[in-house]
Amino acid sequence: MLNSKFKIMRKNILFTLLLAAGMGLFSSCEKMFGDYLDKQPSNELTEEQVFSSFTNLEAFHYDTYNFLRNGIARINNSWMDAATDLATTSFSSGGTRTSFNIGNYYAASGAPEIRDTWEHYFRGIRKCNTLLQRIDAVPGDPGKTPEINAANVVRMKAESRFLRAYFFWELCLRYGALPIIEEPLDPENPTINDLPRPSSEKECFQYILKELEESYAGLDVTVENNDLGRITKPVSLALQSRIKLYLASPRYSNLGLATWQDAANAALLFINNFGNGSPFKLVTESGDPTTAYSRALYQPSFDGNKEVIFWRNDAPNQWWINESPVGYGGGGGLSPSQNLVDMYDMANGTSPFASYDNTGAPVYTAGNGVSVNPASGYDDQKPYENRDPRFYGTILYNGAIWWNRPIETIVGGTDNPIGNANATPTGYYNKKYHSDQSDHSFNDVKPWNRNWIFIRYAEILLNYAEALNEAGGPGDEVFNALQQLRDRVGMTALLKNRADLQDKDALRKFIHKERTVELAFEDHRSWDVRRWNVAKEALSRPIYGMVITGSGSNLTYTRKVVQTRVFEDKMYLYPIPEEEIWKTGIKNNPEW
Amino acid sequence: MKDKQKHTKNLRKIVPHVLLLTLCMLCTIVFAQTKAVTGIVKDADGLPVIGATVSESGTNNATVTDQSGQFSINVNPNAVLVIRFIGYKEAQISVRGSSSVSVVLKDSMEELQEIIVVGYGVQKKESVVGAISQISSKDLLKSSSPNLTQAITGRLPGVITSQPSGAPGADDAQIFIRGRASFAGDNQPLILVDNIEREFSQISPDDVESISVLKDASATAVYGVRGANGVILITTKRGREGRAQVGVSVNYQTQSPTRGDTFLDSYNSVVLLEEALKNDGLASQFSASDIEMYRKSVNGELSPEQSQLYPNVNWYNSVLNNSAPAARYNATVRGGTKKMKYYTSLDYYDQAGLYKNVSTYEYDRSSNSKFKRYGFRANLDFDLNKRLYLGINFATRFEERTGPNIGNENTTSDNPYNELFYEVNHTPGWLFPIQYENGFYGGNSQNQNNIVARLANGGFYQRTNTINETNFNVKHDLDFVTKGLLVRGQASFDYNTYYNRRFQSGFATYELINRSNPGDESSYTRYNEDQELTYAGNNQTTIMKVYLEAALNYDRTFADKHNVTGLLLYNQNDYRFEADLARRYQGLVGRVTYNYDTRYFAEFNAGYNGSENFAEGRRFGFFPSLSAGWMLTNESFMKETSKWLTNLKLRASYGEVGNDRYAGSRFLYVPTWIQLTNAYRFGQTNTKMGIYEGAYPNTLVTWERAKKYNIGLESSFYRGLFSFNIDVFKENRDNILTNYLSKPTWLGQALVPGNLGISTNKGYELELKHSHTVRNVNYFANLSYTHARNNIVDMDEPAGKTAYRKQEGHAIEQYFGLISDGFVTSADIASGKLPTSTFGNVSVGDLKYRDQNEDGFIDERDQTAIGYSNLPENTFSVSLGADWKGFAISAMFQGVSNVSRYYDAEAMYAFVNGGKVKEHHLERWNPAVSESQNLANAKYPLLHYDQNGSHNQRLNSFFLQNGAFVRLRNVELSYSLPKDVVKKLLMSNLRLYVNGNNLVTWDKLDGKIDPESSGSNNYPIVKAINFGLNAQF
Repeated sequence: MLNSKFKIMRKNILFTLLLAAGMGLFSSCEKMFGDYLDKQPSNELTEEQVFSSFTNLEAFHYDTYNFLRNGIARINNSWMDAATDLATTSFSSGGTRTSFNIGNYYAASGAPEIRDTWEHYFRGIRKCNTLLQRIDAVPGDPGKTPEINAANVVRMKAESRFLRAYFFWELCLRYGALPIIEEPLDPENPTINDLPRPSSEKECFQYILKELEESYAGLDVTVENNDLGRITKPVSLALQSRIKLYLASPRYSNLGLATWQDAANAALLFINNFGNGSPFKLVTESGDPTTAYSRALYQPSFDGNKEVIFWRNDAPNQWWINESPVGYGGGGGLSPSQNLVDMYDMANGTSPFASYDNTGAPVYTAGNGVSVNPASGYDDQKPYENRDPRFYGTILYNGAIWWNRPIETIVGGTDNPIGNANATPTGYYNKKYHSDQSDHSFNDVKPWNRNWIFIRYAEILLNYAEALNEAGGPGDEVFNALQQLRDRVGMTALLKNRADLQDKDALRKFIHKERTVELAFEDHRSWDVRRWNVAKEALSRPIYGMVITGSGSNLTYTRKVVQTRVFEDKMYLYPIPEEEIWKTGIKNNPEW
Repeated sequence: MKDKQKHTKNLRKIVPHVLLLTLCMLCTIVFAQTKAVTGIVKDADGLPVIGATVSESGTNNATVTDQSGQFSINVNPNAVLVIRFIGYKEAQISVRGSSSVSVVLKDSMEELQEIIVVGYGVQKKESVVGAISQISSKDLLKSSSPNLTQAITGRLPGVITSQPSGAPGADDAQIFIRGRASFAGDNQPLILVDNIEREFSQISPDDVESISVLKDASATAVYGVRGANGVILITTKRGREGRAQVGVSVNYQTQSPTRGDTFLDSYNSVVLLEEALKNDGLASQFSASDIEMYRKSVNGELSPEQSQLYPNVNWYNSVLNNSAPAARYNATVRGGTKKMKYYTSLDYYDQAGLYKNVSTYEYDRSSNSKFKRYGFRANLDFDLNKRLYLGINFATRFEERTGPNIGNENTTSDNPYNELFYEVNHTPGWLFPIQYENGFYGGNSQNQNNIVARLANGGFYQRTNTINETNFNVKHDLDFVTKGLLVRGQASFDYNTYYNRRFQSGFATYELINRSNPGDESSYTRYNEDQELTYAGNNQTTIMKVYLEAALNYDRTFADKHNVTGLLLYNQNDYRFEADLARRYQGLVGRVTYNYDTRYFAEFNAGYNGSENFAEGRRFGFFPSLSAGWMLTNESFMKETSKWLTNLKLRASYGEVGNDRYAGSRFLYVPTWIQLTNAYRFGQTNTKMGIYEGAYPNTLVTWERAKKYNIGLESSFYRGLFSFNIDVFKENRDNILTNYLSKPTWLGQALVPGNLGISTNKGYELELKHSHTVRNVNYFANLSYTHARNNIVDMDEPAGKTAYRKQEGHAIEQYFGLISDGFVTSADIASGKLPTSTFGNVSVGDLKYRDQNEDGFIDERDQTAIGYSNLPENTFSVSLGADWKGFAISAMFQGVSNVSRYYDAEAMYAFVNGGKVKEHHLERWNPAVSESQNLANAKYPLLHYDQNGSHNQRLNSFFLQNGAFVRLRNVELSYSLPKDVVKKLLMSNLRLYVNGNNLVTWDKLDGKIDPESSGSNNYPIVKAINFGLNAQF
């Protein structure tokens, strides 16, 4: 009896052991579970689909254009130009205010510029590298002839190489020499943490120029209206003009990559091939000269704007609400400085102040004073009268008519109310990029978005004038280039007749000023003052505002410092983002 | 439990005797002598049990007890009487010639206590060797909360709950078992209702038989890849053999916020506002005479016309009621025959929110939020034949939530704030009245969203959910194959729909510009306009779940001493959210348990589970666990101690469990190429499709693995007078899915996370219990304490990262912020060595931060670990109770410590976004008094207006709050009417009670906010007083 019980027990223990052994076995044979856990079919794209269809490849390519950034309120609601002497931001959390402007480039508020730029353009470069690596193996569009397919391949390769060069240029401008990456890196390859960094920026700029030159032939000269915004030959020449101007400038001239004459030639090449109305020219408009200048910026290319050469097509439509005066329910945001206001000439073509420095700004006397050029007719108690029309196209000041009422930045006024932290600290709001007041309303929803302009024809003219003056001093060609910009806004007094501009140094200061004024808030100032080697003067000077008191026509204008700035030599270059330093073998830039 | 064992032993002894006896009786029936036996049947309280069946064992001879519990029966002098009554354990008594017997029936609930629900089965408590806590229906119902996630708070050692909101129908508490161990995913346990993964918060508490919490690997290994964060098993009630037992419970409660508002009145506000403006060098907004008018306004000295110019609006009271009612009605019917048993219930819950009803809409559209729940359940058991069993559960719930059209009120999920509370926190009370005398709603350019106007005119939403849950169970005995074997199967099908409709309209607010003529409409500027109510669309969600399971069970005892059980189970799970690809699991589960003479226990559990989240080859994981136990008190050598040591058990377990839950990411092994329909536009309209490379896939991605160790000791002394349990646990978690932080950015490509992280979690749980009866008073005192501390060992932070900024070496979700070294003094300013603050200008009285990297700037790079994490390391509860002659009182205090909380800006700061000031701002650094006075007294830095305060107003050690608290979580006073009274009411039981939740809280927050709250922009935590009765028929 007992024995049989044990037998049963043994049998059962055996059974139990078998069960356990079975469990063990299962751990090595997933297959017996069938395909229940396989990913079920879905309509998601596969890598194979992307690189076996020309249509998909095109989509992959056109998406790369998204890595062209617009500069609107890009740095935590503030603009790059608010990190210069042209403006500040009213937002206390505005990115530039709490990073660049106090000299703390590592502050998180500045990360959209200091850190995200790094990531953004390297991502763009990877896309270009992927396209260039894969495109040759992609079969052509069966609906098109082999010739057209082949031409498309050539064109897309060229556009991709251009974009890659442009992204890399934007990186090297900020961070100095960087590893040149020409193929998509394999994340699983451990050596990618230790890419060699060229010893000098020279290698990088050489590479950029080479890429631009080599890709030039593959680009289209013009595109259909429907394709406006694509990279074309003029875009490439325009970028080359800018790069050569930069490389000829004091900061980079020792690299020996371009002389002023090279820079002048590059600009002239553009002007001769694509300028003077064929097709590029300044936007002109009969009537109000300010409107002509404004339209250069907000009028879309497909609507006849022949001034824009290189732009991002789809800056969001209503971005400017952020920057509009607080009295309109706007956010304030970008506050132009008195420093910029003082840079505008008089409408009669004369300069309101006695002397200017190499940053293009007037030289202030001690105690917030200015030394006025009496011949200009400028009155510091009527500062907004008879100024360069570009002033009226760029800045909203106390009394400016906008949206059917005068702006009130007078202390306590509608647009400068007490207790609103976003009210302008300088007494000014931005007007640039806003359309004419006549078709302007707050709910203005146009069927199209706006341009964010990288290069417009005005810059080419300024590049040419600057390079040529540096190469050979004042001359008709130089004055002629500048005169076109002045004529467009109705300042027809001939520059070549101005006695104070007849030597190279004086003309240089004038050109620097003219460039700053013409291209204000277009993301040029930060890089111009750096390449001119005057960043320390321009970016560490106090930011002035205008305090306006009184009432009616009885107003008192008082300049006051609204912000002090910090700039040290090391800030000519950004620090490498610290995460990247931790991850890779790259050495940080000097003194960072 | 021992009793039960004895019973079975006795039974085994008795049965042959009875059989023999019966035989004899049959043979000698004519000669048989019968004898009248009388007796009384009472329950444990000494009350007579009416209607109990008294039968002579082995015969058809039976009777029932009368109204006084007495019976009389003629039986053989040696007969054994069997006494049965529903809800009580069966009792047997030998007559042995006596003519009168007395029987005490024990509540069958006590028996249930001894059965522990474990993964895919139940075990006798004494043979459990895993770390499992369980509570029964009775304890659950002590909480007045109709939300089960709240009701379990403090009642289960090792379970940490946190309730972030008290909003009707959205007040689920978050649950963590033994804290957090992973920094990927939500750390939420797997929750199974009747074996199926389901939400349980809205199940009627009356329907719940038990809630069992599986904590160590031994208990959870069978859940394989889903068990790492612990498992909660909810079992619903089932039918019992016997006549239909009807239960009715009615609860009425009133809820109110645990904390009121502390906003200052208009006078104090403008005084502080002027001080803040002066501190910032900003122009004054209110003159001395204005301020005087505000003083009068606050004191009620102004005419209505004047006071609309100098308003003193308490927005909080304008939109919120002091209390909100809720009611719950529940009816259950339970009973059955040998062949068929049933449990059915109906549940209705109706809860109103705290918002005032100012709605202008017809059709009973209140602007208050409301939650209604209609629950129905039928749990049926059929013994189809001797071997075949069928169980069916049907549960359906309709939930209806209605309320005003405000952000985050069940209308939008992307808004982290409840719009109503956001506006209450931001709309100054001194700027404009709610409504001017002419009926215009007040507002200004910065405050156009008058929240009263929005409640009245902004629209509403209605959200209806239908939850259908079904289970089918089949069991078949395989005794004919081998004794103790059975096969069973389960299928479940759940189908839930969520449907949300919204109606909206715009409304106008007005700013008084010409203050001299408020009666004239032209004196106002209007913002927005009044509009007709329009349909704002709906969103719908459906969820379908199909679960299948098949198992072989084995349970047998050999030679009275070798107890063996085995389980082999296959399951698969298919979860479909709308048209998404189904989420699927599949697995095998095995368990073998063995115990020798209920002294030595051993258990092997394993799950072999697969998740569709992983690539073939990485998909399945084998999760074994081993555990062992030793019941010392069953050893013969412990006989000596048995007088005082009733029970002593040691147990230990080790095992591995997996986790595949990481927030939202699926199919990480699949390369993704993402398509955008309008990526970039050329020309005017030429919108191009775009394609880009999604995050780089990880073909090796696999489950997170927890290696868990647990040692436990259970003991009780003097037959339960005292008991003491302790569990010590340690867990090493690896393969935690976390982002690659060491891959360079110049790669130009985001990567999906990898199995890189390592963490540990360790701690202990203590339970001390004491219960005793002195004369007629039973009382108990229980204490439970849980400590769990986790630590991130590795999360792929680059080696070069600044040490003090690393998260590695700290708790998961450790707070990081600036360290504040008190206030800036004039000496600090004079020294010129104060680092430049990136966050704004710094004056005397502002916070002084430590420049950790000594770069001369105070910025984010100076942030380091401060305080604790937001999950308490220690949780504890103390339960006390006593009962006497039907009266019972019990109270539970629950608390947490070693926890930090950073509430929101609105809870802490002054004048946030043009906002308001609270009582604690009166204790600010006051520039009008001396620095030494300020240093001694100030509890808040210098006041600033709006964003000028951003230097002070950030996550720092000054504003990080100690989140520790002790709460009177629950208190209950109840009275069970005497049985004889109840009987007259045709009931078997009637209990009246009043209980309260969250009535008192002790914390360190000076009334700023409730310690558990998720922030002041959200619906507050509520306390509740509940009146109820429970009747059994």
